[in-house]
Amino acid sequence: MNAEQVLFWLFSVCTLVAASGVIFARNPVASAMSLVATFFFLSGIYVLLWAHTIAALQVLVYAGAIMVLFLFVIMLLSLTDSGPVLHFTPSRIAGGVAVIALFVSLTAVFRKLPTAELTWVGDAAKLKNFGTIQHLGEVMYTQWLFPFEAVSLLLLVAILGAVVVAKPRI
Amino acid sequence: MEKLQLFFQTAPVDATQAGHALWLIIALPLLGALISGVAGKVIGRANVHLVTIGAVFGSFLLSLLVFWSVNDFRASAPSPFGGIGYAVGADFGTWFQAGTFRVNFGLVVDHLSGVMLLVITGVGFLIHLYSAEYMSHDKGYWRFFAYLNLFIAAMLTLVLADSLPLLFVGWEGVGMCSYLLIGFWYDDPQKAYAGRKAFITNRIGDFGFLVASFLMVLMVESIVGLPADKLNRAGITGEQVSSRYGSAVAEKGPLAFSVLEETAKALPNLLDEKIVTGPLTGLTYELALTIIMLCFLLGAAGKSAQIPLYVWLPDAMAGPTPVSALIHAATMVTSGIYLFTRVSYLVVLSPVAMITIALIGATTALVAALIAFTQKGIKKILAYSTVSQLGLMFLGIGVGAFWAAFLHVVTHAFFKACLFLAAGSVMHGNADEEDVTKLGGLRKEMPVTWATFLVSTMAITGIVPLSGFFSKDAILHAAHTQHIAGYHGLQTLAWVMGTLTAACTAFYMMRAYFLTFEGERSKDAKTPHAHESAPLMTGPLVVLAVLAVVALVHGLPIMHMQRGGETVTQTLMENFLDPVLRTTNDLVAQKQFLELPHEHESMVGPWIQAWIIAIVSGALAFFIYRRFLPRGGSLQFLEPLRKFSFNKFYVDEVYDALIIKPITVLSRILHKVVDAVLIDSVAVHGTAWLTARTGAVLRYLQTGDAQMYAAVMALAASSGVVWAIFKVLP
Amino acid sequence: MIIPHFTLNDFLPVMPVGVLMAAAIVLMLSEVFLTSTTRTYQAIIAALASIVAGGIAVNNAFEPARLVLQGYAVLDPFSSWTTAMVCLGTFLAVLLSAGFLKHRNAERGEFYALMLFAAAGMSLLSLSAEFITLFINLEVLSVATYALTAFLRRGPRPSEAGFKYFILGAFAAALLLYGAALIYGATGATKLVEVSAALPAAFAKSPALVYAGLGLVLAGFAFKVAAVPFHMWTPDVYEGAPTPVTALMSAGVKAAAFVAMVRTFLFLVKGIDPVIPFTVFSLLALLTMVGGNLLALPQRNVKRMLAYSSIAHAGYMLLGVAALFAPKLVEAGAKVGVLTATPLTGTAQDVSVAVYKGLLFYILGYTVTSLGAFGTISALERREDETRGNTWDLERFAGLAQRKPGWAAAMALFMLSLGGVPPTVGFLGKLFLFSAAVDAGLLGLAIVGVLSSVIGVYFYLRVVVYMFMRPAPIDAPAPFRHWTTELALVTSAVLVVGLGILPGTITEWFSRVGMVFGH
Repeated sequence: MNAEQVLFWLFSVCTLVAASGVIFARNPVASAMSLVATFFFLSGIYVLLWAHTIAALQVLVYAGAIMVLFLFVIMLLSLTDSGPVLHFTPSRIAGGVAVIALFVSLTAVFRKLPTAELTWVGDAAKLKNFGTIQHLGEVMYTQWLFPFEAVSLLLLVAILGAVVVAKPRI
Repeated sequence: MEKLQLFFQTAPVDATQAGHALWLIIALPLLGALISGVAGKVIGRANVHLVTIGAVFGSFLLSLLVFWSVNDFRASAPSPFGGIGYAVGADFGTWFQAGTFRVNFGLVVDHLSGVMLLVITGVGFLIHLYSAEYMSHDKGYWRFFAYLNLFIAAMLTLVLADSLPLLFVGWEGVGMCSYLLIGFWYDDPQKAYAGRKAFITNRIGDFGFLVASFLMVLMVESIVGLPADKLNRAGITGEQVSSRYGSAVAEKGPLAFSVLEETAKALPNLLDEKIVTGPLTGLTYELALTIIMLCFLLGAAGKSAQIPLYVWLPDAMAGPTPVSALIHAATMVTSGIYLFTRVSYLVVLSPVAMITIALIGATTALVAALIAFTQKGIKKILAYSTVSQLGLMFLGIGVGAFWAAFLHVVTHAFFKACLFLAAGSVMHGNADEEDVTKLGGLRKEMPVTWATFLVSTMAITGIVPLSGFFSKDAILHAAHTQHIAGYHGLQTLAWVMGTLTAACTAFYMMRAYFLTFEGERSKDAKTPHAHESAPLMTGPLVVLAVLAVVALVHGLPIMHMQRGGETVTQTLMENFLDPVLRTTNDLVAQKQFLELPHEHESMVGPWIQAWIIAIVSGALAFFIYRRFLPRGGSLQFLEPLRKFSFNKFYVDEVYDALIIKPITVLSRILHKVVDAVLIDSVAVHGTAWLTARTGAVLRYLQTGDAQMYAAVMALAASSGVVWAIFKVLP
Repeated sequence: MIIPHFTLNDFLPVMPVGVLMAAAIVLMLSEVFLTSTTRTYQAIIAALASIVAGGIAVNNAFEPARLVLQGYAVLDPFSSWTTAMVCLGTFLAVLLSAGFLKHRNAERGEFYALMLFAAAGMSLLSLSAEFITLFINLEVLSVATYALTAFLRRGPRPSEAGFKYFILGAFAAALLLYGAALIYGATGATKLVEVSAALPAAFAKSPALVYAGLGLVLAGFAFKVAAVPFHMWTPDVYEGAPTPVTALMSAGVKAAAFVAMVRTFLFLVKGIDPVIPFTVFSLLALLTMVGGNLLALPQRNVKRMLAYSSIAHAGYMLLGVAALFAPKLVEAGAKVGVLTATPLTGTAQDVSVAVYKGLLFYILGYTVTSLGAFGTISALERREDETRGNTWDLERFAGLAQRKPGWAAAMALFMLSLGGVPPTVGFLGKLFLFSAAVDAGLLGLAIVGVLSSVIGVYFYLRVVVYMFMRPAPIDAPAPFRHWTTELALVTSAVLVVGLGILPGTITEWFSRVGMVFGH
């Protein structure tokens, strides 16, 4: 087991634990802070995948900007920690069963994967600037032009939708 | 004379064109029915008259034109076997097809259907005219004329059809129109019942027709598969005939009349052989043919009111009188005879069928005549008379005198339509009084009606030289002289019954005449004075009465023909139908199932015989009803017989007890047990209940809880993944 | 660095989208500069934009099928016809909205803008040929409809509906995305053409991964087309959304999702045992047909009933999809079962063209019918009832034939079409689809389809019975009238009957151009 693998396990287990915290924490602020932790550990995994830029953006955008918004909302709604006590309603039981089933079956899928050592198959020149902003920009504006433009449409629609829904009742 | 002949033989219309325009003859009255039925109330009485009568008149003119071109010596129908002389027609291509079975939509006019065409449209036109006056006070005029036009269209389809299925369309169509018109005044439950009775009785017959058609298809298809040498016949041999036959069946369908005719030509050599293919395997061809013919007989008995299915016709008089004249005397009821004449080549191949037809006809004729003796309603008398005359026609068919039977169809159409219309006129002038014992003395008050009724009565009675005499006598003569092989005794019986019928006819018709028109006006009459009907009603009467006389030309033996080296004298009708009946005659000559008289004895003897019978019976009626019983009443010692006859031999009651009651009881049981419990409660309501319950139960899953929804989705997705994994795991 | 080279050809398929977006932006901005209070012109702009876009789409439909925009999109008749039908649906929905919103004083440019954006999303979804593009376009469509669902917040239902739709939609999108990621992991490609090329090898190496990916992608799509058991959001959302929006969702969203699903799976089943996709789609079709009809049965709420009915109709469309994936060579003498295929009667090529034709015609027929049915409901809604639960109860339809004979006749027509009674387009759609399915060998499933549509006739005719045979309640208010609503209803009714009697030209076009890229 080399260092990379150690780090991978560390990050992924922590991501899972933090994500569970988002769901199970009774205090909304604790829940939000768990989410921040999740994003941090996730960006660690990105780094392991040589995606530096994404990792940085993850921290900046999600852990920074979006989380601040979340906390503002929680504060404005002045939620206390008297959240619902854990009841075993039928839908929750069904949900739990479904989650476990999905988890188990996907685990089984990954267990079936061939376990070969991962190696870099691209050419070495590309390896040098893989994951850099320059490379990302190049790919995004030449090869992925159409999806990129589609995203701009998506953002426009999302803004419009958010405005419409946030308006006092029409 | 020769110029006249040439004139008749050169029509102004090209035969092919005439053939392709045949559909117009049907389409005109159909259009009339549509207009009158849809918009009749809106466009008013006069316009309905104009449209519907105009449509029939148009059809009549077209029929004349087509009839003319049929007589054109240049005419010939397109046929895979070469031209049938004197026919025009057109095949409009495939009508429907299932596998190798196909039916073409084809129309054809030859001498047989040509005559029918003229009778239907001509008499139909006159009756339309008459109806315009007769129904002048009825609010349902538009419905009436729509039905009447629809009937004409259906009847024309029946006679123009060049295949059994298309004929069946017309067959059903006339049955439906008959039902609609009998029950025309449907707010009277008795009349509505009469309509239903007619319809259901006809359905029994139609069942026979259908079974016969199905069996026919099977038989024809079993012949198609036969090796060539079995199909050999004079002139054509070997592969040629087999392939020609097969291609004709493939091209025209097994039920086209041209194919049936060809089948008949092939049958004589096959009659004793067993069928080797198809569901009929094991039967001989003769047996199969006999079964088919008997099934056709059931169908024809339904439509043409023969024993055992005649009971609907007397009740059918519930309809308006013009309907009785058109449908239940002149046209529809003769379609059974038309059918048998059409397939005469098959009839003559089955002696069993022939003698059965003859006996059924003779029995019906006699029984109906006996019932007619004592009926009081003038229309009832005429109805039983119609049944009786139809029986005579069947007798003619049975003994192979197709032309005579057909001649009787034509003459009967004229004089019986005239009689019915005159009866209608009588009722019209006497406040709808039907009972002959409550009429009387109308001779002075209704002179035109009286004269036409008298002429027609003499025609049906068989007084020389009116047309009825020639046709009826031709039938009786044939029954006497032509013998069905192996059934001499039975045939003589049939002949005797036929002759008795002739005597009875004279009696009951004269009775009706005397009671209605002669003597004093009855004290029970509804109105003190009758009034003569309007010219629109008497006009058709006069025309029909004249026709009833003029039609006698068809019965005159004035045509000379070369046959087998000797000159044969034929009546006009026999000669005229010769192209239609040529195959039949050839088959008769070949198989000898029908023994024709060797010497052509003079017909004068039987003529005098018949005349005497008519005169004597008529005189008897005169004495009984004018001399002995001028004031009504009856002969005491005959009272039980009279009652028996008046109650129609209790046939309706017997049917009721033997057939209708058991069926009703059985139906009620089926209704109570099978329908109400098994089907309604268990199958129908049970299924509905179960379905509704399932839906209601499923509904409880729909709680509105989004978490539950997501859980269900996740479960479904994971079960899909799990299934996929198990699929992969070895 | 590769500089992409585009020609005008590349932009052909997205031109309708361009028109729709331009109009949407105009409408959005119009709110900023608006001074007048009547806003019917907004509806007219939106309607015109959808007509123009639809016209371009129809024109595109006669182009040969090919990949455009660097392989991210396709230009083929299948997607072009879908765009045209989406535009037709949007046109009708916009007309319905004009009267609906005016009645509630809620006319806003944003509403129409969102509708056009949703239409743009549907069009883009139907022509996506790459997973990321597909996902983004699906989200465009979804986000627009989430917002539209919660546009009118009268009473608790719309908010609840919007929220539910959003949460569950996000969940389904996550499933789809996860599935796509698994497939990317197995094949190393996201473009469908490349995925399909790499699939056989990937399948040989790690079949479980591919199966799991396919299953999750299918789950995502099944949510969008509302296939049982992924349907449960449908009645709640359809009921809560403003009725014209419901109409657009039942027709347009579903059509686009169907087309995208068919396209995706045409590429994704390469190298897989053909029985598996066939069985899965057959099972979905079976559950959806039967489940949708059974669930609609006890409903007295007409809007909810129509929501279930749209599930049932999705089932019939799934039957067509299953027919597309019917194993092309079935050994003779195979047993006839509900989920088994019998031997094909025609050649595989003919059969698949017939199925595409049937599917497209069915979508077209369902679009016009469902728009008409929801439109009639929207016209009958009363503002006073919105906070109560009985807005759409059957009683609302009692005696409609006496009050508004024209509307009752139109509604009866739509109900008959939904039930599949001639001479409506609903009958012909079922006829084409079921006969194509039978030709493809799905005899058992087609029989189930016919039987389940018999159940459907019950609840469709119940509406007709209420309209024509029940007396009108005494306090029945006069339904509001607006010329756009009536124009939409008349258009739908004419199309329902017209296409039902004379389907000739349309079906000929469908079969002539019914080729699909990649099939």
